[in-house]
Amino acid sequence: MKLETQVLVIGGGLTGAGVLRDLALRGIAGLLVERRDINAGASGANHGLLHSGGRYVVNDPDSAAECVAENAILKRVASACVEETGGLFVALPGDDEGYAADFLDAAARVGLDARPIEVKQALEQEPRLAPSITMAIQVPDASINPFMTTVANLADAESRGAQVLLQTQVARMRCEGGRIRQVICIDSQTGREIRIEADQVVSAAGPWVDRIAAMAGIEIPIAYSKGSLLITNSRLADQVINRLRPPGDGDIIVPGETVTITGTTSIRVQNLDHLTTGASEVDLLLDSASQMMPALAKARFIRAYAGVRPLVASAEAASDRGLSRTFTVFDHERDGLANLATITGGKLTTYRLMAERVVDLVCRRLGGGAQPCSTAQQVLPGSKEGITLDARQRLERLRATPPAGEVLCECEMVGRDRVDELVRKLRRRGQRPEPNALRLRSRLGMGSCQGGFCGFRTVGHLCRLGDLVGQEGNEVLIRFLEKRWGGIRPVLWGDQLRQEQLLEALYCGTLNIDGDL
Amino acid sequence: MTAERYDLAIIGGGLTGMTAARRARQLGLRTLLTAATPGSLPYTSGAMDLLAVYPTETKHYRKNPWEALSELVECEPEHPYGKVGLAGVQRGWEELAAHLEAGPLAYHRGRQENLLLVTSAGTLKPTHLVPHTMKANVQAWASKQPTLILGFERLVDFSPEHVVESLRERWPGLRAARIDAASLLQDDRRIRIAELAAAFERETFRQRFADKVRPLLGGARYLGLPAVLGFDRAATVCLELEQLLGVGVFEIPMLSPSLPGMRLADQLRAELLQDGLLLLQGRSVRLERGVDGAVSAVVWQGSSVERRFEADHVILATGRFFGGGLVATRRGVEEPLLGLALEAPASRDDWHMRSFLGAPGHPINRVGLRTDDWLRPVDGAGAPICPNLLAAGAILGGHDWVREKSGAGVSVATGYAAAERVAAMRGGRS
Repeated sequence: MKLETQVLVIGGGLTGAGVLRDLALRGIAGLLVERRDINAGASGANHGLLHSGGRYVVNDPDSAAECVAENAILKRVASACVEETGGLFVALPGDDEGYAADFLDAAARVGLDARPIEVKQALEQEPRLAPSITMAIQVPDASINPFMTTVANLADAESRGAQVLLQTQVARMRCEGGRIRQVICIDSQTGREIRIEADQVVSAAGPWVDRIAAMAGIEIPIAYSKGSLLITNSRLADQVINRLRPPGDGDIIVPGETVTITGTTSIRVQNLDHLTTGASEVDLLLDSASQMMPALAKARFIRAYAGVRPLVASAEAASDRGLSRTFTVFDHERDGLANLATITGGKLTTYRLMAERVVDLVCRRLGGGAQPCSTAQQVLPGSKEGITLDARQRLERLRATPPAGEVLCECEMVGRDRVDELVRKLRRRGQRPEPNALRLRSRLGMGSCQGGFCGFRTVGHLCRLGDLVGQEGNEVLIRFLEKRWGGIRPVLWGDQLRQEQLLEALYCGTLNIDGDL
Repeated sequence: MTAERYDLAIIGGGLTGMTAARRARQLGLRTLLTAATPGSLPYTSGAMDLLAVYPTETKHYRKNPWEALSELVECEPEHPYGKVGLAGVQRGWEELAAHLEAGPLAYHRGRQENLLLVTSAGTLKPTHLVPHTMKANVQAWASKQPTLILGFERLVDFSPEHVVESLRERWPGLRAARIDAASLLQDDRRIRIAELAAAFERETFRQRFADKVRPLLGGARYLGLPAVLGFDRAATVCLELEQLLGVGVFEIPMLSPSLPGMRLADQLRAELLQDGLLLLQGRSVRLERGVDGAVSAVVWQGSSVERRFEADHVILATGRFFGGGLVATRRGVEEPLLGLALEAPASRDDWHMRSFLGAPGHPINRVGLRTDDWLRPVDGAGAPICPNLLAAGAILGGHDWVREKSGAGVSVATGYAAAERVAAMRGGRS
């Protein structure tokens, strides 16, 4: 199959989705290819934190200034994906008091609204904070659902004529005369080859940008920094809690809808494809974060996961924490390729700005009369003034009046109607509806059973719909169970171990799904 | 506070504790049973496994459980079956099997062979003793006769299409259908299993159900249903449906909740109560130990009062992590009643395999109490921790019932053997 487009975007994370939408709003035809599914890389493995800028304000003021601006913009244009939780930076006894003073000075310089509040007031707002905190500064941090944000960006782009091909991996590129002539992709579901010809190519492949560039014969120096995070089964804070000290391990706690996310670490890795979180990393995170919030030490964790930050290597940085978290646009014209640009680094909070910058470059190259960027003004579908994300209210409402029809996922109250609607959408894309694809687009399987029960129900339902036939049902089920296992295995003690023992007993004992009879 | 005196106190009301109690009563021991939780039995399929996979490293399915058992007993003396011995396993298992065959659930046994059950995932599950409601399940698969798997609209825990899709290549005469039972039940969102089960116990419902199903049968010789055919009368419900429809009717094990497991738990509990056993439920106990290390009393921690029982012997049958018999923290695994730290892989990274379902099974599942031949938990040097405390069932180390498919067998064999050992110790003493 051969496809033509003006701009090919590589990577279905939030940045790629933002680029595709930005192009569409400027009237440029775009086509996005993604090797796996939406947010399969770092966009799906982060805190879901919409930074106020506070985390970077002392060490990395450029990043902080970007965050200040983008935080305000996204609260407006992506309001349905953002819960305006607010955030606190708290100091504990022994933390450097000088840092707090630097923090407030630096905040003033970048326009970050940071206000010291009384410790008593902070403890009233967040009763699970350590009573020993010595200082608290309020900032406009927020919580953002990265899956909803990506879905909204893609949906808006598609409604304006853009195309999205998921499960489509870039295999190689044909370059000639200083241009990429053809990008050859493989549809991973059918094995079919898709040859794409585009005027311009944007690589937004996150930590994989070096691999993409290498296909065009270009070297990009990227450092991979793994960050691990832990999710509890309940919401322990209503605001983002940060440690008031230089960035370190386990210094951020984010309320993410019904759960709490704690992170992160920063560990250099070489291999991007099999990220794991070990027991010592879990203990490091927990021991550190529970200093701010002792309740975390007793909390039930339902999952650990890890993402890779693509950091643009620089020789002078002493540690990865010191590397800038701002982003980089590579104009590969300098490398002799006039129609390739790479966007990487940065963070969830700045995805829109990253898209704007790279699309500006693409527009300059395309020439002609492209419109200016409007993503800072045009609200995303579903977002508008007065609409914000409040998962707790949503769940309470749903539990009081459950969705019509049967409920497949009881932890997150995902009904069959919602699943059927998503199945239809996935079919239209030519993508096989699997529990994992449904999980990324609803919250199915994200609660305390982590899909242990609703995964089984969903497979049964998909067999009924005819989307899974023959042995596919159990093959998909086993794949889903093994995938969820990777996240559950690091947090197995206490009640989560009990729950997992029950699930193993049901799947192996009752169903003999581990057998080959 | 005055203490009541018992020959034997059993802690744990699951299959192990109830088997031990049954045997203890048969042996004439004055017995007390405490059950903090209903145990794991209500979560099981109701089918009882003896041993179907050995060795687990190769996932080797064994048709003949007794042959596998004699190998296991030979090779793994520290396995609970090794402690009890082949003859001991046989005694306990045969006694309970015969009892359940004669009882209201009319269990059915594979003699020298394991039975294969069709599950709600359309997988086959080897087991050794099944309730009457699953007898035709085994026969239907064995014969591959035309069979209809019937589901209920809105019953999300059972998908007949999942069962049929998974098996249809090997069983061409298998078909799926669904009926809407909502007109008979008052819930427009989902069908509750308990309501369906209650309905199946009513004759009028069964007749209406049969009228709806008859036209769907086609040439089917068997009808497979989710496990919802009533509570304690399930065997009768099943027989009556067979008469109404003229085909073999069977239940298919589901994940959870599991009525067949509850039926078994209910039957065993009811029999023990009828027999006059003192059963204390819903609260945990603590143990008091004398200077010689022996358990001197079992204290039942009621909400307002504590009850203190003196017992000559105690059997610990509190299960593994799910039952609360073992507790895992970030630092390790312990047995909470005695405060014993158990030997487990030093790093949590080694508690579980990288694969959830792979062979041979997760190392943590083999962690548990080590015992002497009297089934008394021992310390690192192999000496009994308490001279009068025995342990039985899943809390014992050195086995992995989930992968071996030996859960019921280990519970029954060790529960039965523990009660016999208590009687033997008493005999030896007197």
